[in-house]
Parts: sequence; structure tokens; C-alpha cells
Amino acid sequence: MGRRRLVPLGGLVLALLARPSPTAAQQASINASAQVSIIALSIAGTQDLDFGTVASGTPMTIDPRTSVSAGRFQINGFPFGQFQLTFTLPALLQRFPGPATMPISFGATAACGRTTNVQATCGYFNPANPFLGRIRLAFPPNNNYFVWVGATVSPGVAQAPGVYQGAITATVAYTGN
Amino acid sequence: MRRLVPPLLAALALALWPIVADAVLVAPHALFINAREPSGEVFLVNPSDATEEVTLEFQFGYPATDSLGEVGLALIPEPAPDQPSAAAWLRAFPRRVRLEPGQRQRVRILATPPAGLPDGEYWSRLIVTSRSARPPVAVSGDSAVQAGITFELRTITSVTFRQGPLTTGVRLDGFRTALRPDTLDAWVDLTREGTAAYLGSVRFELREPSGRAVKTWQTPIAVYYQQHRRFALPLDSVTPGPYQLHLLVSTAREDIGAEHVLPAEPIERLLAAVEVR
Repeated sequence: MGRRRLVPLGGLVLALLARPSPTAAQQASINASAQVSIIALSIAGTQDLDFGTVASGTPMTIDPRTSVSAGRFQINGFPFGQFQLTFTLPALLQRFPGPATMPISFGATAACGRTTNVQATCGYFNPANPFLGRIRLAFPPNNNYFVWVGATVSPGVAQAPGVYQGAITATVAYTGN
Repeated sequence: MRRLVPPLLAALALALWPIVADAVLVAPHALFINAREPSGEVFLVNPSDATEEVTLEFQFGYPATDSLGEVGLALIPEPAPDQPSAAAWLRAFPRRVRLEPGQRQRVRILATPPAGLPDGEYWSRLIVTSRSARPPVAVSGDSAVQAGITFELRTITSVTFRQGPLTTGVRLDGFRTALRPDTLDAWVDLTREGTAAYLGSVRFELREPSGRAVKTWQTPIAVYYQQHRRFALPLDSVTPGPYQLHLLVSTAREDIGAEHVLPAEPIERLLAAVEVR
């Protein structure tokens, strides 16, 4: 944990919005934006996990720390707020349309997180387990937490051609309310 | 004035939000409604460049701790009859939303509690699920095998329904520390008292023997029943030596309006001998 010094939110917002001059109104907008950015919670996908073309019979792994193809999303919320992040992970990718499938697996280092958008220095974690993190102690738009996700797909030797897709459900919740 | 603030803030939220592929912003993160005004509002904002399909549902749940002292959200789809769940009688209007890029949507949350509901506090979680409205990728025309994963994103916030006079408080036991490399673990047992969840914060202060504070840590807490909680206090830049650890548990919150925080007496404790090596 770290130091935190933030003004009370509601009173500041109301005080700012009550000020009449154009300059003040502009300032109020900026500050009010900051306040709602702080008290809101969001999770945003910024890049899907993309294996591209894979070779039949050859497993392919995307490392969340080193691959530009890793899935990526970010969480925005209350500065230094603690959150819980959980994943629902698929075991198979499905070809659309059609019944063909492809196995996919997620190892103990298949996810990686950091408070700043620097993938190369993120910390690995196991997406199969609930993950506890903290929003960066910074005002908007830097009140973030960034997550990268990798996986391994294992196409069969006689894998039917096509595009195989699946979905990861990522769930975020504060732990303090 | 108060009713104008949330929609204005929702509109302004777009200004500082980064453009991303898929996202839905949910505000506020904690909604409080009561028997006299049994409805409230939640705002959804799509700051992304893609259309989002959004659904809203309710489920009983609250923060709880495990044997390692870690806190997490316990979701209970089928709560026991004696658990104070509001999930079954909360409704969202609308329950499904299609949000275009940049669009915001006001969602009304309405409570219709059963007749004769005893005074007390009743809890639920609001689960907002967003999926990109992009159509599935068609099968490629050649013999290639391609693979990819998309994200379905869920944001969970709290909804609290209050009826009648309520009180809250917390009992603190078992305050102790354990030293790890670069981290001081502070353990506390917290037991809720009164008739409502304890929403507050803990503040730790590491002091020299003279009483001078050298480092502080503060974080929100929510005690719905009991918690056996471990707080990991990073010791970066702390010089080895003898210290004291002061703990303040209070209802101070910076992320929740003061009108929603139930008062309670603060609790202070001091561990006089904490050795940092």
C-alpha cells in the first residue's frame, strides 16, 4: 500500500459545478471529469489475443510479457483502490461456423499485470486464480491497471482450416465496498 | 442540483477517457437506495470506438477473506433465506442496452421489497457485462488455420438498500505483524457490529520510538460479517530498526458520499515493538 491524499469527492464536485464564469466552468469540467473518472469503475479491452495463422500439429504459445499479440485490457478506477480480477477461461476454441474445435490452455504465467503500460516489466500471475491488484495512485487518465493475457493453442495434425475463436470473461470488482 | 450532477459527470467522463477497443464505464461504484426513495440511477458510458451490447443483472455478494487473509468478492447465486439479499427484488430499467461509441445511458435501479420486510440493510451486486457487437469473423477462404480470443468484460459494483434506523461498528481483535523481505504484514480480525455493513478505512502509521511517523498506508475496507485480514505494507525506503505500528480504523471514506457512510467510533491500536530488519 502507499500514501494517499485525496480531497473529498462529492463536495468538490458540487463546489466546482456551482461556479459560474466561463473560465471556471471549463475548469469545473476538467475537474469534474477527473472526479467521475475516479469514482467510476471500468474494464476496457484494448487488444484481442491473436494467434494469427498457426501450423497444424504444432502448439503455439503467446507470452503475455513478450508478445505483441498478447491480449490486453486496462482497468480504470479509484486511485489506489484494490480490485479483484477473475477470469473465465475457455478450454476449446470453436470454428465458426461448424463443429470443429481447437484446444487452448492457460499456464501459471499466462497473465501479466502492471500499473503502467509497460508490458516488458509486468508481473506474471495465474489467470486461473483470482488476482488482487491496486489501481495506480494517480489522477485521471493515469488511474489505471494494465493486464496482458497469453495462452497456448494446440492445433491437431489434421486440423480443419478456418478461423477458431473463443472468449475470455474478465470480471473486475472493488474489494472495499 | 444533486440530480444534475451524475448525468453531467457521465457526459464529462468521455473527455478524459482513453479511446479503447471495448469498454463500458459504470458509475457510481456503490449505489445506496432506501425505503423512502426506493430507486437510484447508474450511468453507463461507452468510451470505446466500438458498439457494445450491455446486460445488467443482480446477484447477492460481499467482500470476504480467505485463510491467507486475502480479500475477494464472494458471489452467492442462491443465498440462504436468512441472508440479507436484495438481488431478487431489484430491477434495472433497461436491463439490456446497445451502446454506440461515445454514447451514455442512464439506468434506473428500482427496489420492490416484499411487504413486511424487517428494518435492516440488504445487499446486492450489480453485474454489468459488455460484449462487442462486432459480427463473428467469417471462415477464411484458403486452407489456413487461424486462432484468436476476444474478451467479454464484466464490472461488478454494489447496491445497498436501507430500511429503518441502522447502526454499524466493528470489533478489532488479533492485531499482530509478521515480517517478510521488504514487506510488513499486519493481521487484524474484524467483526462487524450493529445492523449494517461497516464501510470505512484502515490507516497504518509506522513510527519511530520517538513517535515520529516515517510511513503511512491507508486503504478502504468493507466488513459485512467477519474478516481475517492481512494487509501487506511495503517497506521500501524504511531503514532497519525498532518501530511502533499505529492502526486507526474509522469510517473515513473518500470514494463514497458522506451521506451514505454510517458513523461509528474510530478504533486505535498501537504495537509498541515492531522490528524492521
